[in-house]
Amino acid sequence: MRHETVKESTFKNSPQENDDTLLRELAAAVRDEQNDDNPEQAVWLDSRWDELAQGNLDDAGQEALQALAAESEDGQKALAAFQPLDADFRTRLTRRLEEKVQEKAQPEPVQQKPVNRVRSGRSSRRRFAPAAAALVALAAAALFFIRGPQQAAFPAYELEVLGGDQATRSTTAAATERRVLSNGSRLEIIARPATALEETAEAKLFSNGDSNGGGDNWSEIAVPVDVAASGAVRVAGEIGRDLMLPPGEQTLWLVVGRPGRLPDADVIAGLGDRKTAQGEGWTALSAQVSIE
Amino acid sequence: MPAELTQREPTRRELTQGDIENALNGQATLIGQLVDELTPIVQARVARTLLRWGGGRDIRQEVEDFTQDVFLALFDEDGRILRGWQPDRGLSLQNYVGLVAERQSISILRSGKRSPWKEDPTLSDELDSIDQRDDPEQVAAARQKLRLLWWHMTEQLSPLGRQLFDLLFIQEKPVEEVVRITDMSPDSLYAWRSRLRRLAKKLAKEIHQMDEESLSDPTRRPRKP
Repeated sequence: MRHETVKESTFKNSPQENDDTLLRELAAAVRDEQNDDNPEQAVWLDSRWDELAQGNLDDAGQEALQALAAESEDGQKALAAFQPLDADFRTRLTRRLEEKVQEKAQPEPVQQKPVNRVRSGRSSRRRFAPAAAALVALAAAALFFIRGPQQAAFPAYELEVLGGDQATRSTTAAATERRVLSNGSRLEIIARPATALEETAEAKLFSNGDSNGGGDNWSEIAVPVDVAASGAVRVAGEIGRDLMLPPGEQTLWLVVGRPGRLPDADVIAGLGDRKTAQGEGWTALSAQVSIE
Repeated sequence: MPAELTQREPTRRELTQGDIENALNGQATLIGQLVDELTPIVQARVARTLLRWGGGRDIRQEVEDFTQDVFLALFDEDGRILRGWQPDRGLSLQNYVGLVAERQSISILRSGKRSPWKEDPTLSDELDSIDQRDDPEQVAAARQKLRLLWWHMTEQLSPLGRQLFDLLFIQEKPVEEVVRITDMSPDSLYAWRSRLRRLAKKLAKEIHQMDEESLSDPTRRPRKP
């Protein structure tokens, strides 16, 4: 693996590492290792070894792998490791697994006596099978009527953040600038639907919390949220009085959706560093703030 | 690393969940078929795990032993792991079992029940020697840590978790596409991404702490991962 890009800080749980940086670096390392053009790629990552183990490698391929094996100790080990496990091995393994399955099938002493009862139980299940099937069908039908037809996707929203030292409005439904605020500052977050809602909605505000916690302490912020009949949402308040946000840089997610369908903090934590997200019956928009 | 995850592994016959059920109920021909079809997959994953982490003196014997252990694990508890394969989640049986094989191999190595290092250099020594041989110190340290992180992630993630890591981060597919591939809801995917991130951060922190302790006390070797 070549990891010139990986930072040592990644492993120190730096307060700034509040996104998917670590997973991305790990994934990049995995991709790097898989890259056939990587001169440091280990000899045993060559996909022809898989064909050898499958017994599908043609003569030319086998010769190539033997030549590869001759070049290094790793290659020699790979040649030994990937030689197909032969029929004897498979036969032994199959027998061992058959024994294992048989061991499981052996009735335990306490179960041996009521054999007849078990059988009669089975037959009674058979006898009642049509009735059970009818009940299942009835339940499925009832479920269909309770759920009704599939609901349309929840509409996209546009976010506007006001207050603090910077104002931003985005036409792409996401605020992209970080707003700098302090205790006593007024923060107002407004989200408007692309089209007026014809249904009721509710909204919640989430924050990833104190940056000392690594920016990963996602929770709902208790704050008055107004939802208009049109579906527009407004969160407004004074930092330190109405909006209790800890000092430091943090991400806010405003989530709007159908009643009872809003995601929990665990789902919000998985949204990563994207600006908007859409789930089943909800839409979420993020804003960056810094509380001084 | 899952070099095989992104490429389609050859199949001779598509085994179904029904076939697995029948095999676990003792149908000998299907057990034989499972062994025939899955042995090369398991063998390749086991072989790469052993080759990556040093292996012992007789790697051929270890590959056989580990392969058998993986199959026994698949059949443990009335085939609980095998029954966990859900084709509609987008993983073929071969890839599913391949992920189980990697995880199981690492687990065996960690537990020391069948350690190839009993008479050989420890894993840490292996890694140290690789680092000193190939790369500048800092790059080597980062590489070692990422390998350790991947090792721990591979051991702790379920096949589904591994699949989602592969789709979301290695292949960088958008959530909408992963929803289609796995037939999971967006909410579930977001929750999984959160879980993956938490796990990676937790493990990275442990690895870092392990490293710090090792530096402050040179007589202490990092735990074998």
